[in-house]
Amino acid sequence: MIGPYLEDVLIQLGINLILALSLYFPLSAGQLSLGQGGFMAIGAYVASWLTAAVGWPWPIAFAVAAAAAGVVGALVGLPALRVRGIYLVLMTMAFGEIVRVFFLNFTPTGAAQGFRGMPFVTSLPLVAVLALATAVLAARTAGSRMGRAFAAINRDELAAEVIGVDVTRAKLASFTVGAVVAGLAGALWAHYVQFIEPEEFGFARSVMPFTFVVVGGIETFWGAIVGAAVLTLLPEWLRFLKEWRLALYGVAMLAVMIVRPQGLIDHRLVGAVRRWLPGHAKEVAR
Amino acid sequence: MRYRWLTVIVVVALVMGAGAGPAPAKVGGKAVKLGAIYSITGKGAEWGEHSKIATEIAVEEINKAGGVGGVPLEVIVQDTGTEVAPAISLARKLILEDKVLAIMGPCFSSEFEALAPLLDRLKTMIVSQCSAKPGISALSQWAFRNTLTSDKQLAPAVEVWQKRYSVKSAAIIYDSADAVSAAEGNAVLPALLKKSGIEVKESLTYQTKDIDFSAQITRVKALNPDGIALGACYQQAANIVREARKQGLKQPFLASACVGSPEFAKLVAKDGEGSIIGSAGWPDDPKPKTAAFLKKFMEKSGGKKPNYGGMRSYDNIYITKMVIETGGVTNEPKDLDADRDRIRVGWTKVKDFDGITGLTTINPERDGAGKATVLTVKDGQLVKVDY
Amino acid sequence: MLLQQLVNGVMLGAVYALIAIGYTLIFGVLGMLHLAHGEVFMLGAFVGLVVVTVTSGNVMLALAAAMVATGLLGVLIERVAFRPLRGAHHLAPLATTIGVGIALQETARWYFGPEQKGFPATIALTLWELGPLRVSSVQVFILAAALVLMGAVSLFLGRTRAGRAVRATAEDPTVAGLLGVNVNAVVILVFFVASALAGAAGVLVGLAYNSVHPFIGVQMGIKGLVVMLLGGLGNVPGAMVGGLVLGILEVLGVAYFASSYRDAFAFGAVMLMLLLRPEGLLGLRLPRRD
Repeated sequence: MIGPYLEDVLIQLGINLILALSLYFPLSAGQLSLGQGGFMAIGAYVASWLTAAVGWPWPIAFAVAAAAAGVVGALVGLPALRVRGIYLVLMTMAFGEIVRVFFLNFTPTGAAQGFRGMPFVTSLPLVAVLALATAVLAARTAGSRMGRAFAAINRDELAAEVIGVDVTRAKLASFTVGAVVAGLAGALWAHYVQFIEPEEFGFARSVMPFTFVVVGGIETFWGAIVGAAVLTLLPEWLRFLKEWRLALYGVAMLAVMIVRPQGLIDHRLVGAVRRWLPGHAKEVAR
Repeated sequence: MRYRWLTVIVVVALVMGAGAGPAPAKVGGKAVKLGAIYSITGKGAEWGEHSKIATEIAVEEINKAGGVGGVPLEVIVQDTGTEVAPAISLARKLILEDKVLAIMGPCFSSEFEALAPLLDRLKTMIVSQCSAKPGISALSQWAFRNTLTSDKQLAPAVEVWQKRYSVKSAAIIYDSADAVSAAEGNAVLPALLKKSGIEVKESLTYQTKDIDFSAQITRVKALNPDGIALGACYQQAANIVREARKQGLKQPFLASACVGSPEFAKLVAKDGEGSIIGSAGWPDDPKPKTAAFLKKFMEKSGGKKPNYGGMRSYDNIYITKMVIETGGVTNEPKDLDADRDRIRVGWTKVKDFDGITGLTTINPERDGAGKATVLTVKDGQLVKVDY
Repeated sequence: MLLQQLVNGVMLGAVYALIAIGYTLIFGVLGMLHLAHGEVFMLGAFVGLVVVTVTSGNVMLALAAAMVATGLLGVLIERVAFRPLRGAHHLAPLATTIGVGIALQETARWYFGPEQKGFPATIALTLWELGPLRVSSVQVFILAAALVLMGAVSLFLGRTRAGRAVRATAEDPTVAGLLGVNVNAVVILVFFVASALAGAAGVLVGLAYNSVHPFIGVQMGIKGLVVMLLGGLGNVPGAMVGGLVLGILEVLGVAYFASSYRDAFAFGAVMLMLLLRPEGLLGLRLPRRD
C-alpha cells in the first residue's frame, strides 16, 4: 500500500505536526517558548521508562507522560507569568537546556548514553489519529472563550486584563496545554525510534516547532500545521540535493520570512478559503 | 553406428559432468545487494571513510573476478553521521525499501546498541567492523561483530604500557557520552589497570562535544599519576593530549578502539609520541593479502593507511560472499526472508577465515576472536609494537 | 590547583565575554537577538585556521583577517536578515537568523568537512612558572588579546563620536534620528564591530583549544546569550563581567563535580537571574524592551 519509507516520513510528519501545535497554544496567548524540547524530553523519558523499565501498557504510559509534562509546564508557567518578550524566550531556552542537562546526568534512564528498550508503538494510524485530535483541539480552542482570551492577551495584555480576562489563568492554561502536547509528541517519538538520548532534545529540537510556526504562519493554528508539513516534506522532496538539503532549508526559511513575514497562512488567507468553501458560515475574515 | 555416436556423446557428457565438481549454489537475480551503514561524517568520520574505501576495493575485486556466485555484487553505502537516529532509519530503509540481504556496519557501539534490538523484528543481520563495547552482540541473534571488544584490545596494551613506562599509578579520562568510551572508563580500564598492579588515582569525564579540557587536565596535574589512560575517540583524544602537553604534563598515554586511527597520530604528532594504543588490525602486516590491500587502499585514500575498521570491512564483504555462495542463498525475491536467515546462519559458522586481519572466527557470542595488535605513535604514524 | 583552575576559567570567560559583547551591542541597538552570532564566531575560527596554516603561524594576521572577514559577514547578515524585517513582527528576526545560522553551518560543513580541524602546532610555545601556576605563552596572548579588544570597545563607546552615536541609538533610535544620527549607519557599524569581536573570539578559541569544527558556534552562541543575560541586556561592561563569572563557574563545576554538569551552572544561573534580577548583575543601562 504505502511503501515503508513513505510511512516513516508520514509518521515523522505527524509527530512534527503535534510538536508544532504544542508551540501554538502558548504562542497564541503571546508567550513564545523556545523550550518545547524540554517538555518533549520529559514526555519521552517518562513514557519510555514506564514501558521499558516498569512494563506498563503504552496507553497508560503515554497518558502519564503527557500529564507529567503538563505538571512541569504549569510549574514553569508560573514564573513565566512574570516575564515577557525576549526575557520569556531566554527563560524557556534555559528551561529546555536544564532539562537536557538533567537527563544527561540521570543514570536510571541511561544518562549520557541514552535509553532504549521501549517497544515500537508509533504506527501511522496511531500518529494520524493523535495528530488529528490535537488539530481539532487547537481548532476548538481558537473558537472558544479561552481561545478568545488568548487572542486578547496576545494583542494587548493590559487591555485584556482591563476588560476582565483572567490573564493569569489563561496564560497558565496555554502554557500547560502546550507542555502536555509536547510531552505527547515526545512519547510518540521515543516509541518510534526506540532509542532516546538527551542531546536530541536540546535547543535544535526546541527551534523546530518555532520554525514550523513562524514559516507556516503565527496568526492561526493552520500555520503550525502547514509549516510542519512544508518543512518536514521539503527536505524529503529536496533529498536529491543530498548535502545541500539542510542549507537550503535554512535559506528557504529566510526567504519566506523576507517575502511574507506573517508566514504562509494568515487570517486573510484563512478567511478567503472559508469564503470559497460551499456552505460556509457567515463569519467574516477575522 | 548412430548408437555408437550417441554412446560417445553420453560418455563425454558424463565425464564432463563428473569433472566439474560439486555444483556451486545457484545464485540468481541481477545483482546481490548488500547494505552498509558507515559513520562517514561526524565524530567517527575516519572510521566510516576507511570502511567505505575498503568496501569499494572489495566490491571492485569481487566483480572483476566474476561477482558473487557469478552475479555482480552491489553494496549500497549510507552515512550515519555517527549518530544513532540516522543509523536506525537508514537501516530500516535498506532493509524495507532496498531489500538488501545483509547490512555491513554500523561502526559505533552506540549505533549498534540502539539498532540491535530492532533486528528481531526486521530479521536481517548486521555485522559491525569496529564496535568495541563488550557484551552488546547479545542483544539480538541477528547482531554480529567481526572485531575485538575493548577489553581484548586493551589487555596486551596495558601490559606493554605498564612495562615500558613503569606505570604504577594512572588517571583515567573518558567520554561519558559515548557507549564504548564510557564502558572503557567505567569498567574495562579500571579492571585491567588493577590487574597490572596500577593504582587508579581518579576517573574524570568529558562530553563528546566539549572542546575545553583545561579543567580536567589541571586536576590530573595535581594528582601527578605516572600515566594517563583514555576512553575516547581520536579527535577528542588528540585534543586532550595536546592540552596536557600545553599545561606541561609529560605522562605517557594509553588508549584503544576509536583512538586507533591514523589521524590521531597525525594530530598529536610529537605531543603524542610514544602513546600506546590497543587495536584490532595491523595494516603493515607483510602477509601478501594484507600488503596487496594496503597498496590499493593507500592509492584510493591519498596515502593514508587504513584503521582496523577499514581492514575488517574488507574482510566482512569477503566473508559474506563466502557465506552466500556456500549457504544456499538463491537471491530470488521470493526467498528474501529465507536468504537473510541463511546468511545469518552462515555467519555463525565462520571459523578460521583467512582474512587480511588474520584468521577470523566468530565466537558463540557473535563477536570476533583473535590476537590484538598493540600500536604506538612514532613520527606522526601508528607503528606496531611486538609483545 | 585552584589558582590554575581560575586561570582556566578566566581564559574561557574572556572568550565568552567577547561573544556576549556582540550580542549585547546588537540587542542594545535593535532590541533583537542575533541567533546566527555563534556561526559568525565559528567562521572567524575557520578564517583564522586558514590564515595560520597558509602563513605558517602568523597569528596577528589571522586575527586581523578573521575580524575583517566576520565584520563584513555581520554587515551582510544585517542587510539580509534584519533590515527587511524592520517593521515586521518582532519575532521574525529570530527565525531569519536561525535560518542564516543553519545555512552558514552547512556551508562550513560542506567546504571544510564536519570533523574538527586542529590549528597547526607551529606557534611557538613557552611555559612560564609563576609560583604554583603554569601559564603558556599562548594563554597569555589570548588573555591579552581579549583584554585589548574589550578595552578598545569600551574606549570606542565612551570616547569617540561614533561610539556616542551608538549609545544614543541604543537609548532611543527615533530621538537619535531626529537629532541627526544616521541610524542606519550606526546599525551597520554595530554589526561590524560585534561580528569582528566574535571572529576574534573564534581565532582565540582555535588557538586555545586546538580544534574548530562547523558546530562550535551552537553551544558558544547559547553561552553568549546566557552571559548577555547575566550581565544585563545591552550592557557592555556587564557582558565582560558576566563572561568571566560564567567561565570561572563552569571550569570549577567541571573540576569539582562532573563534566556533565558544565552547562547546568549556566542555565541554572539564567533561571535564577530571570526570576530574581532580570536586569542582570550590573543592571540595565537601557530601558527594558519587550
